Order: sequence, then structure tokens, then C-alpha cells
Amino acid sequence: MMRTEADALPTLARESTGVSRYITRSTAIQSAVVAATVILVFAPILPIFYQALIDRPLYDDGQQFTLANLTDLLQSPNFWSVAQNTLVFAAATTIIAQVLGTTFAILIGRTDLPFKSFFAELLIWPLYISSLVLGFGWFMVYGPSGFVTLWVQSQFGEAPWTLYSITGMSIVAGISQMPLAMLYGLGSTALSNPQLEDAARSCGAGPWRTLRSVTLPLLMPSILYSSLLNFTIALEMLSIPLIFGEPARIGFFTTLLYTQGISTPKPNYGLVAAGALILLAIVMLLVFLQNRLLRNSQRYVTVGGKASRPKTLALGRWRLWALAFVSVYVVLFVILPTAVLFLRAGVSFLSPFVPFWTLFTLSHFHDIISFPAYVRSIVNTIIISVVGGFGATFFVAMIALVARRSKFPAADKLEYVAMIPRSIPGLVVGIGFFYALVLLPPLGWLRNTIFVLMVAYTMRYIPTGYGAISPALVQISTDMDRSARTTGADWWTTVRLVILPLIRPALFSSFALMFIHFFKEYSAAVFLFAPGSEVIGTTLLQFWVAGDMGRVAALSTIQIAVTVAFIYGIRKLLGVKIYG
Amino acid sequence: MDRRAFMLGTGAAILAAGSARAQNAAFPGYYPADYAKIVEAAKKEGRLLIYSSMTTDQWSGVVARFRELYPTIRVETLDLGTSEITERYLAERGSNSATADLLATGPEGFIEPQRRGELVDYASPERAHLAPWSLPSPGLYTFAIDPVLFVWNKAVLPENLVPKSFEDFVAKVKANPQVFNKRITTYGADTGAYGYTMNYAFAKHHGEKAWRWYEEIGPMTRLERSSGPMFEKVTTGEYAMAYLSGSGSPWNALRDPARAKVIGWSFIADGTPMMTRSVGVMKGASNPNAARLMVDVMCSLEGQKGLAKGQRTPVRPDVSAADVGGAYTYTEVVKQVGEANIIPVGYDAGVETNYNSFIARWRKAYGIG
Repeated sequence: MMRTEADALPTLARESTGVSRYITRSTAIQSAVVAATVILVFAPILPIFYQALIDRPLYDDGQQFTLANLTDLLQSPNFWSVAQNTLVFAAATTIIAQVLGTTFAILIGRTDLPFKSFFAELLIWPLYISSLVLGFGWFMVYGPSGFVTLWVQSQFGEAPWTLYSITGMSIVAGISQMPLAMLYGLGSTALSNPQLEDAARSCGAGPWRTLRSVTLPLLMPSILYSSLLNFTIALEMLSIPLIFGEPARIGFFTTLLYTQGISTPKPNYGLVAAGALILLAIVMLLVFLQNRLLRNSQRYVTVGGKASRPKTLALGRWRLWALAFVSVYVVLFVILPTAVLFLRAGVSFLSPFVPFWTLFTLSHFHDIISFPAYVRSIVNTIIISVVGGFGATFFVAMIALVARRSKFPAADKLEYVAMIPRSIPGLVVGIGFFYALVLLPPLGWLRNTIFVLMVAYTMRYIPTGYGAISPALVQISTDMDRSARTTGADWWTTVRLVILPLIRPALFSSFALMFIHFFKEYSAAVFLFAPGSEVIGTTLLQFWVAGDMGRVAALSTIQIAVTVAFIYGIRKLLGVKIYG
Repeated sequence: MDRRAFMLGTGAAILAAGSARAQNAAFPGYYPADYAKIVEAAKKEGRLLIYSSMTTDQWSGVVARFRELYPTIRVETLDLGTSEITERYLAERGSNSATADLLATGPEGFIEPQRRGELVDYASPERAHLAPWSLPSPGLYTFAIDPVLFVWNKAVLPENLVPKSFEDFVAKVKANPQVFNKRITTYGADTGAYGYTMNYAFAKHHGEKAWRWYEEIGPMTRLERSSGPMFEKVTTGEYAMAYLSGSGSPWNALRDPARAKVIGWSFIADGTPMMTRSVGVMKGASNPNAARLMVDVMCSLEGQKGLAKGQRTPVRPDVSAADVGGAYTYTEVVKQVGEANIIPVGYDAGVETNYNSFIARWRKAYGIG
């Protein structure tokens, strides 16, 4: 099929048959992207695979191949009940995150909701800080002695919720992952085609019918990508299970791995690596299912050759209800848990038994800025997030373009490779990179620099960035590529001048996600950082382990302030409007 | 020899003696004569890298003392989780990469390096001034302790329910489930080296009695993994009380008088486990001389005072309460609890071999799984 098309259009032949016959600028770029992706993903993963299959730590002599790590894991006490808890938690988290995220994406991206750009800023906040810290904010508000819980108890006798249950944890995790679904959705709604909705309306469909039959199905690619990611993030989430699951004795897959493999007097990385293999198998299965669901991808094309003007849907009499819903959500689930963190940062301690206004202090902030190592961790994190974030976004955009928009042989398999990192827990990524660097002596100098952190973070968050860009590509008709090509542009000129500008909102979403995740990452850094390459995440973890919750809160406050400022500033700088 | 040569000779001798005295001024007389050689070699190395689970500011006091003596040597500390300290060292060592000169961590962190012969058998000149218990094995120096406590919320726990001993605590929990059930907390023995080694020593000290206690209070306990959430939840009253809790966070917090009104604490009269932190020069050190100097500083009187500034509890017997601003020292803790009621948490071979059976029994007593 490809061959005949090429024969018929000799001018395009060089492009479409790929590397097998000719080397052009475009195929050279495509090959480089494929090679870089494969190396970046597999360099840290191969040591992990190897570790999973040997009987002792990688650094020891006399290794023997064995399946014992895998069988030990499967036979560990409660493995199956733990697996069940994990699946229920991951499914519930995903459903909550997707339903809320999609709703907000439509309200903000497609409707005339009042103050929507203000809400859009606030709704992303839970993503700005690590879920460890967010969980802390939640128990200060909604825990058994939380402010809201105590107030509700004083009014009604008892508070009808508990965070120490799978339901409670799923709500916290779902709300903290909601912004991912929302940002993906916004990337899609920015490319929506109001003509399709108009067509439905003119056939007599009411607003709900239009929503159900036109708007939502068109968001399907972005919903599927963010579901996949949120599900796997929940599978490998450690922080919320540690904060709320452990005291209530609810076991999860990652707490099991962490407890038996890492946080024990006798660490067993083989077990952890075996756990990563299981996660990998699950993620590959999910990517396969997702590809099946998106097989007919031209159904989702909304941006074609014809110009159309984005038009928002009028909510009519629902406008105030929507406003009330979003406001209540923002106050209860965004403002309260973050405000309590800000408050905790500014007081010596928080307790219902002492009025907090007698306890104000700036000492936590003062402690942070008076130690060079802590200040350096903030500066390093900003550099990593800005420079690394741009680099990673560009790289991921190239992966998505090759996977979805090129005729490179087996380009569709590239998506599987791009999704692999999502299945590897962060700490394991760090260990993998550590070994990749020490086993390849020419790269040894990279250790102890922030560059290695940028590379490791990029690898870890390829799927997150990819998921923001790929759905947008699905929405853009391949007619665009073809018309550019008939005017003589090669692949590289086409994607650079036509495709990339069209997906600018998705590129920005991807950058924002990279920036946010790089800014708060800690697990991948634990094995890679060194004096001089400290980052906020590792400093935060140190404060946490030392029990210094005032400093944890103060550093998180700085983290939120810097993230808000940068995301806002860069969006203005690039002139991207993603909120309708 | 003519007169001139004699004059020159004695002059040189006096000068030499003078400079030797100046050199030794910072060191007590009991330091060996050739100590200056280590100092010179360390100055050539110029830097020092430590892996520990102490934050930069917990290090700052003792590092300041080190810098006072050796201003040209740069000290870098890397604050890692307890298992990462050892694993990272072993992995770097195993792959011949640059690694730490010193490890400073709890006993469990040294089990594997010791077995692999990774510790340098350095005899510090401060040895004679340290208590024998603080020298667990050749090359290892215990520099700080962390007594394990009862910590409670005064607003939640009525005064008559404040336990006087562990035995009393178990009795009170049993008699007052409405106050204690799901509102007491401790570290899980199965979720980290700290909780495990401490519970292991505690159960070994009390024998079968400890297991009966675990069975009574275990099912009513909520387990925490780190001191931050544990202590924060005691402060808000979510937990009435933490038992077998570390002393770092509470003692630090109680410097604040407002917080002292909410939080109460005590040693455990019938058995206070004593966690320890030790330091050792590693075979993989790139700066072995600077590492030796740091061991000596950490064990010296001034160094111990510096550690106390970073809220570490000193172990050296001659550190007085006045030296550390009225904070606790090992001597002071022993005076209050009584020698017989100190449970050393240390280098017991059984810690490693009995791990699986201990954890299985502990989980059963606590009703987990």
C-alpha cells in the first residue's frame, strides 16, 4: 500500500519509504529521535531487569540467574489482598480524577463559566506539590483532628468521613491527580470544533445530548491518555498509602515493595525490580488496550483545512449552578488543604488547643534561607525545571511527531517505548540511572551534576508529556500534512511550520506538566543527588524524615509560589491561551 | 662548632619547638606526636564527604568546630534515608565509583559494611575519654544517642492516665479503651530499621512480658513510619499518645514554651531503649585523613558540644549539662532512668538473623495480616 502510493507520487517517495532506501534530513531526524528514545528509556531499565533476575545486589560478584525475586514477591504474605486493595484504589482514583478533570476541562475550555481563567489557575494547584505534602494538608483539615472535622463534629455531633480508608485515600489521590486529566482535556478542548456541536444543535439535540454525543466522544483520546497515566500513577503511588493506609493497616503494592525491598534493615532491590516488572506488564497491557480503542483515530479529527472560530457554549441557566459547584470544590479541596499548609509554614505549631494567631513566626522560612544547601536546592530546582522542562517538552514532541505523524518503520511501536517509564517507580528509575552511569565509565562524570537529574526526570516523565501532545495530534487532520507536502515541504518543514504551531496549547500543557513534575520530583533523585546537586524534593524529604513539619510546609509554600509565578510568566511570555 | 653556628642551631631549635607548640595548641596533650602528619595529609585532601541521615543544620554545630580547626577542608554532608546510606555506599564501592569518606548512621546501617570489612580500624586519640559502651567495635564510634520516650497530648490525656511505666501504660490502655483505642501510636517494627531495632531490643530486655504487652496494646495502635506525622498528630490531638517514640522531634519542639503547654513526655521508667548513632571511616574513602580528623572532632568535647547545638544528644561522659545549655546528655539520662533501666539498642548479632521470625511474631501480636 505504502509502496504503491510512493510509486504514484514520486516526489513523496523519498519521505514515505523511510530509512530503508534513502537518507534524507527528515529520516535522519526521525532515526535520531527513535534512537535517543530507545537509549534513554532502556539505559536505566536494563540494569533493573537484570537485577530482577539475579540472586544478589548488582554490585556483588558471583551472580546467579534466578526467578526467586518474582516468586518471593508473589508469595509474600497478603500479596493478593494487597493487589486487590491496589487495584480498587487505582480504579477509584482514576474515576474520580477523570470525572472531575473532564468536567472542569469542559467547563473551562468550552463554556462561558464566570471567572474561568481564575479557576483554571487554582484548580491545578494540587498538582504543584508532592502528594506527600498534600496528604499532610488533608489530614490537617479533614483528619480526625482536622479543623473542618472538629467544626463539623461540634455542629453535628460527628463527621461522616474518614481519610483512613480506601475510599478516603482515593478521594485525596483522585483530587491530587485531577489536574492532569483537566490539563489533558484543556489541550483537547482548545482544538475543538464548534461546527460539530452546532451541527448537533441544529439537528435538534439539547445541550446534554450534544455534550454526550459530540463533546465528550471528541475528548476521548485525551481522556484515555490521562486515564492510563492516572491509573498507573495510582498503582505506583507511595505517599498517600504511606500517610493514610499504613496507620489504618491497609496494604498496597508499593508500600509492600517499599517495606520489604527498601525500608528494611536488609534492603532487597531484586524484589523491588521484580515489582517493577509486574507494573511494566500491566502498563504495556493498558497501552495495548488504549491503542485498540484509538485505532480508528480519524474519528477524533477536529482541526481540518477549513478555518473555524472557537466558540464557547452558553451555559444559560446552569451558569450559576456551575459557578457554585466550581467555587465549593475550589474552597473545600484546593484552598483549604493548601491554606493550612501556608498557615503551618507561618506558625510554630498547629493544634486545636492553642489559638494559632498566638503562634506566628517566620523562623521556618528563616531556617531555609540561612543554609546555603537549602537555598541551592531551590536554585537547582528552578534551573532543572525551566531548562529541563523545555528540553523534555521538545524531545517528547519529537517522539509524538515520529510516532503519530511519520512513516518511519514501526513508528507505532515507539509509543509503547514512550509509555514504559510510567511503569517504573521513581526510586527504581534513580537506581537504574545510577547503574547506567557507573557501568558506562565515559558517563561517570555526569554523576553529581544536575544534568543527570534533568535526564532522569525527562525519562521518567516522557509518558506524562507524551500524553498531553499525542491526543492533540490525533485531532489534527492529516490533510494538513498532505497539503503541505504537495507544496514541496518535507516532513521536517511540515511538522515545524504546520503541525507544531497548531498544537501550541498542547505543547504548553506538556511544558507545564514537565515543569510541575520536575519541580516536585524527589524519588528519582534520592539515589542520584550529591552535595551541590540538591533539589527541593530531596530537601523536603529530609525535613519530612527529620519530623520538621514547619519547614516542610514553608518549603512547600515556596514551591507553590515559584511554580505559580513561572507557569503564569511563561504562559504570558509564549502568548499561549489555553483557557478558552 | 663555632659560636655563630651554635646560635643559629639553637635558634632553629627554639623556632621549631615554638611552631610545634603552636601546631598542637588546638589539640590536647594526649594526642599522638605524629598527629600533625594526619592533619597535613588531610589538608592536601582538602575535602570530606559524609553520608548520614542528619540534616545540614543538625551537622552545622560540629562542622563549625571542624572548620575552626581546619578551615581549608571543605565538609560536605549528604542527608539520605537510613537504608540508602548503606546501599549507596555499597553500590558505589562495588562499582569502584567515588563514594563517602564517613558513614554516620544507626547500628543496622553498619552490619553489612562490617561483614564486608569496609570499616577502617581507626584508633582515635579520643578513645580513652569515651565510655566503653560507645565503642561497639573496632573503627566505630558512637557520637549521639536518642532515648525512646512516651509523648502525649496534655489536653487529651487526663493527668491520672499519664503512664508511670510501660507496665502501667498497658494497664491503663486496657482499662480505658475509650481514651486509647486507635489513639495511640508507635513506629512499626516492620516498616524500617528504627522501629525494628528498637522493638527488638525492647522485647529482648523484657522477654515474654513484652510480647504480652504487644498483644494487649498492638491491636489498639495506629502505626506511623516517620516522626513528622506522628508528632504532628499528637500535637493536634488526633493521637492521645505516642509510645516508644523518638526524642528528636519532641525535645526540639519543646524549646517552644507554647508547645510545652500541649505536649508532655517522659522516659519509660521500666525500660528506656537507647538508640545510637555511630560514625566510621570507610575503606572506600577518597579522603581518609580528613575522615579521621572528623571522627576525632565528633568525639572531642568541643565537637560533642557542637553536636548538641544541632539537637543531637551527646554521649561523652565529661560533657556536662551546662556545656549543652541544659539539654540532656547520656550521663544525665542514665542518672534519671537508672543504669538498669537503659535498654541499649546496638550491635546484637541476633538483630539480623532473627529478623523474619521477630517480624512475623510482632505482626501477629499487633493483629496485622
